[in-house]
Amino acid sequence: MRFAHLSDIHLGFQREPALQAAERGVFEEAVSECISRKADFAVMSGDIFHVNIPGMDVQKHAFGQFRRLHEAGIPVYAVYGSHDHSPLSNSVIDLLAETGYVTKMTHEAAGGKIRLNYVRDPKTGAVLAGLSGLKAGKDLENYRALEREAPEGGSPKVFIFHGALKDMGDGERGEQMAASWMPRGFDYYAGGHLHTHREERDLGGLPVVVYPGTPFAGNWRDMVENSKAGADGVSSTKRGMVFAEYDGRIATEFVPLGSARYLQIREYAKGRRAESVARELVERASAAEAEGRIVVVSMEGELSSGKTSEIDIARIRQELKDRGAASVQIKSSISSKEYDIVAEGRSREEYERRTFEANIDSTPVRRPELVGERGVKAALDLFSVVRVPRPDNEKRADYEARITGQALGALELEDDT
Amino acid sequence: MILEHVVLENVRSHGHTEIVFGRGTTLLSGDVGSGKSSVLMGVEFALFGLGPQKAEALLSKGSREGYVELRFSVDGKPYEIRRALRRQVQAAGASAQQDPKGSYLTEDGRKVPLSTLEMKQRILQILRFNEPAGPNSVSRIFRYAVFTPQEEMKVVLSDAKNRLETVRRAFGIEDYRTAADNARAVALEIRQRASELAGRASASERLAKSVEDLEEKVRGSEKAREEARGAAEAERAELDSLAAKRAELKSKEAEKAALERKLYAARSNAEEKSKRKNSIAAEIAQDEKEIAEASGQISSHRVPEKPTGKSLQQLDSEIRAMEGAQKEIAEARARIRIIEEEIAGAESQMGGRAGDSAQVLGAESDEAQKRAREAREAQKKAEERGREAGYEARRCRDGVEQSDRDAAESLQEGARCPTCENVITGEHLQKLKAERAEKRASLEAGAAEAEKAQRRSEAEAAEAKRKAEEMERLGGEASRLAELASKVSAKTAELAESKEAAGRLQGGGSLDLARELRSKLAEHEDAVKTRAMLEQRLERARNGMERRSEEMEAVKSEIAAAEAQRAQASAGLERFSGLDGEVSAADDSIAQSQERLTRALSRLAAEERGIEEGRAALERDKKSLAEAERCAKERDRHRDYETWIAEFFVRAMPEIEKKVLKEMYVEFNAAYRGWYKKLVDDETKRSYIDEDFAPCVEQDGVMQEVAYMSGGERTGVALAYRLALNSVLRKKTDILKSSLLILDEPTDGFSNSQMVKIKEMLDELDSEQVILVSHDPNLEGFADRVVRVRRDGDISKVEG
Repeated sequence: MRFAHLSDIHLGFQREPALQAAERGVFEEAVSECISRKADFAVMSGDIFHVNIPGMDVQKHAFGQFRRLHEAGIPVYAVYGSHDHSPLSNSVIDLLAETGYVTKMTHEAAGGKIRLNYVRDPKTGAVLAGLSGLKAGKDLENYRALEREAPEGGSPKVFIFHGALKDMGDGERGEQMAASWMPRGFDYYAGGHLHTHREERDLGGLPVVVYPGTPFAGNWRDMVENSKAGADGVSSTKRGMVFAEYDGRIATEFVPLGSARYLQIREYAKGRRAESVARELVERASAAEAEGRIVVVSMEGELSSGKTSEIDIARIRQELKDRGAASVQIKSSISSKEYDIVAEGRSREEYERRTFEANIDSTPVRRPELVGERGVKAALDLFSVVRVPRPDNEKRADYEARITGQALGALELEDDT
Repeated sequence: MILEHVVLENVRSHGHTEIVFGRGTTLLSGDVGSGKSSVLMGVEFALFGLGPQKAEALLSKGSREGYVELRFSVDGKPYEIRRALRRQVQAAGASAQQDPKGSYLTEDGRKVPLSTLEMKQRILQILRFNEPAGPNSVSRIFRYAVFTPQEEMKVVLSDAKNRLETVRRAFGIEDYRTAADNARAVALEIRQRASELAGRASASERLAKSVEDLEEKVRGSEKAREEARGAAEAERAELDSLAAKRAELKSKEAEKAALERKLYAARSNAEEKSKRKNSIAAEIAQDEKEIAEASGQISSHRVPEKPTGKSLQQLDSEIRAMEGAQKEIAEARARIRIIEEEIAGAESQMGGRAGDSAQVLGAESDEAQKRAREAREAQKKAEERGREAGYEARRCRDGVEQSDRDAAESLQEGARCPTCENVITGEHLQKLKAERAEKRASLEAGAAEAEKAQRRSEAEAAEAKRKAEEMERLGGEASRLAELASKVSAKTAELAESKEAAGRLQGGGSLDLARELRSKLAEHEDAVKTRAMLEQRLERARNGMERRSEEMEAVKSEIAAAEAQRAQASAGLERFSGLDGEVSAADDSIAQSQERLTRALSRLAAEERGIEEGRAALERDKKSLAEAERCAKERDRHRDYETWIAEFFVRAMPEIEKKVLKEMYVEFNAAYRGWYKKLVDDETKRSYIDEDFAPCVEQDGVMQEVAYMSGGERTGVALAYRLALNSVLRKKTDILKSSLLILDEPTDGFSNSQMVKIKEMLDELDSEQVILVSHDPNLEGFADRVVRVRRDGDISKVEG
């Protein structure tokens, strides 16, 4: 017998049409694989959707695919992930369960204990159970209360879960679980939550622990990761699903999915002027082999001077789109030394006076009323006159004549002709 | 700014809506389309006018007039503003406009008369919004920092140009650009003035040379003047000596003239006296003739004898008295005739009674009048009696009539007796009827008797009246006769008197005799007077001849004296025979000298004039030179100022701008990041403001394009941006001192969990006044006050 294992599909994460198409395409491909490889059933380890109630277009598409599986006689056993579960509201998974396209793994809570409800796959006799992933480390409470004794009879026994095992040691952020929390006696531990494909055997007494990882991208780090590609645009990160064969023991096969091509442009800004980085990026963008690629522009480092906003993101995007890029993503972690300041909390008036004071003696003029304190006062007087904007109802010529007259008056340069 | 109270009258879906805003959070709650946002549009309209909005869209359909009235305060000072709308129906159709007549601003309790545009300018001043007040512009600061309409809230994310301009304006950054532009214009003006001053200064060298030349010229003129002055003085001395000599000749001339006058006088005196002598001789001859004539007349003159001892006056008064008496006699006689005629007339009027005296007739008259009075009295009494009898008769007749009426009704058996009120029986009835008949007969008799008495009295009254009238007539007649009798007796006495007077006058002397005597006396007196006059004439002639003989002797001796004087003067004149020639020569010399002096003086004046002109020119040029030197100084000063503005002031502007903008940026970014984090609780997301004040959102380090953000995400960014702008403006600038914040659908697209953030946000804001507008009932729990707006048909209604 054979079953498929998918997780972290994150349907609905992508909003940009090209990426949305890629995201959907990958899911469709996964469904096709299930059908063509004649899987007996499929397990999905959470985060099938990016949110608990995704947009209607996302649901429509997803239902179509689940129907394909259903019609092909491939039952789906699933748990909620941290994204598509809500303790307060419904989830689209509940709809799929209602229609019979998906069987939710459930449990009973009684007397401070949690008892898993075992499900027997009618065709294969496999026994399945699972525990949904919760947000913000709430999983711990569930696992602590879990009755861990092995289920009686049936095989293979599959435990579906959503959460990172720290024993896998990949430094995934957030709370992590330990292998020792897992229930005992299962043949296959079908994990979700980790976005890269991992498989461990005999991990703290668990015979096979598999994370298929996201088949496309569940967050932007995945996308940046995807964009690490060779000249042909093929990502060096493998994304896909796992098929497991059971013949007394578990054998797995990782099946890559997706045909997206990538280009990554990395720009190092450290110690450079904003203007130089901006120019170079535009040049690189306008010369990039971007046709049909998902392009990720990644910038990092601290500029020696200038504003980060001098780097014209919109222009770079446009250049790449003009070069035929399917999608352009910008990752920026640059900063500017010039703007690495803390607010001094001074008033505008203080800045005005201080700037005048700092520059007053820099002119070749040595007239006593134009230097030193008197000069600063003259500058402030002049400023108070010339800063006044032109009212809409005053003609430009009248305004200029008025302001000039007042300014000359303030400087005691009255017309004596 | 704090909103206090708003009234919307016929504004959009509001017929009449009044809302009182308090401090704290007010929620305008209601379904989509209920008219919540219209309230905010009304507030904005009241403050800033229509802006780009059409009045047509603001004024309720089908209403002719509408208005928004808003009370608000700034720093505790209350203001009230009202803007009205009016739809005018014209041939081309109806069009709505702002109505300046119904619009006003009240400040310090007084209505300020302002046009709609001026009201907007004033509001911007009051709010200290540093913005232009064009008729079609909205207040961007108000739009971004105080109130952004629902549909424009998310524009913050994409409209980079307006956003940056708004931020620059709000923070006053635009001032530095304006100041730099204006300062450049000022520098240019100074440069133009400097070059003008340089032009004026350039004349200084030429002027210095001119001053030198003029000084030289004046010195030359002064020397020439001194020479001219010397010549004139010498000539004046010469003239003086000539004049002295001439003066000596003049005294000789006087002496000569005196002798000539003396000679002439003596000659004419002698001639005159000779004429006098001849005339005296003729007069003496005349005198002798007069004496002879007068003596002859006196000897031939006669005087008649005096006729009487009386004087002329006595005689005249006697004659006048006699003439007066004769006139009076004539008048008395005429009067007697008139009186006699009057007496005869009166006696004829009296007829047979002419002989009776006035006394007898008066007594008769009195008697007749007395009787007349008695008769009148009797008449009155008879009339009174007649009336009484008439009344009595009437009363009896009424009684009879009543008796007849009573008999006609009620008297029948079984009825009640009208007198005793008992039931009337047959017997009683008979008795009553008899009583009635008896009473009626008695009344009938009474009436007849009374009527008789009445008639008798009336006859008596008539008789008395006739007798009274007769007596009155007789009395009047006797009285008239008595008057005539007394007139006859008076006239008779008067006649006697007149006759006696006439007799008395007749007794005087003869008038003709008196007149003759007077004539003779007058003749005598005339003769006496003539004699006296003749004697006087003779006397006068004798005296005159004597006096003239004496005068003749005196004249003769005077003639001799005059002749002696004439001889003496003629001898004296011999000495001055050569004087005229000497005088003529001296006068010629003086005339020549004077001509020379005149010439010298005119040369002196010419030199003086030359000096004066030279000095004036010098003064002028010196002044111009000083002016040119001043201009040179001013030119240098202007050039310094130009340099100072261009190289110091203008260059300082971008530097200040950069510093201020950086400061604002840092504060703004910090505030924005804080708000964003509060509103969007998602670790994977980070948002900040770039140096151009554009909001940036990153998820997992990748920048998110606005176009692909969800509604909730955009709301979060826009709200954080506005809250940041609001809080930094409050902190950094004068404007928005008292803090009002209006949030229109701030939770649009928010999830339930994000809604909770709104409460935290409101607490954090610590605004004096927040106005929330939302269709989401979840917000009601967060507000201090909820105003519910609902749509009732076409009309919005407000509760709470």
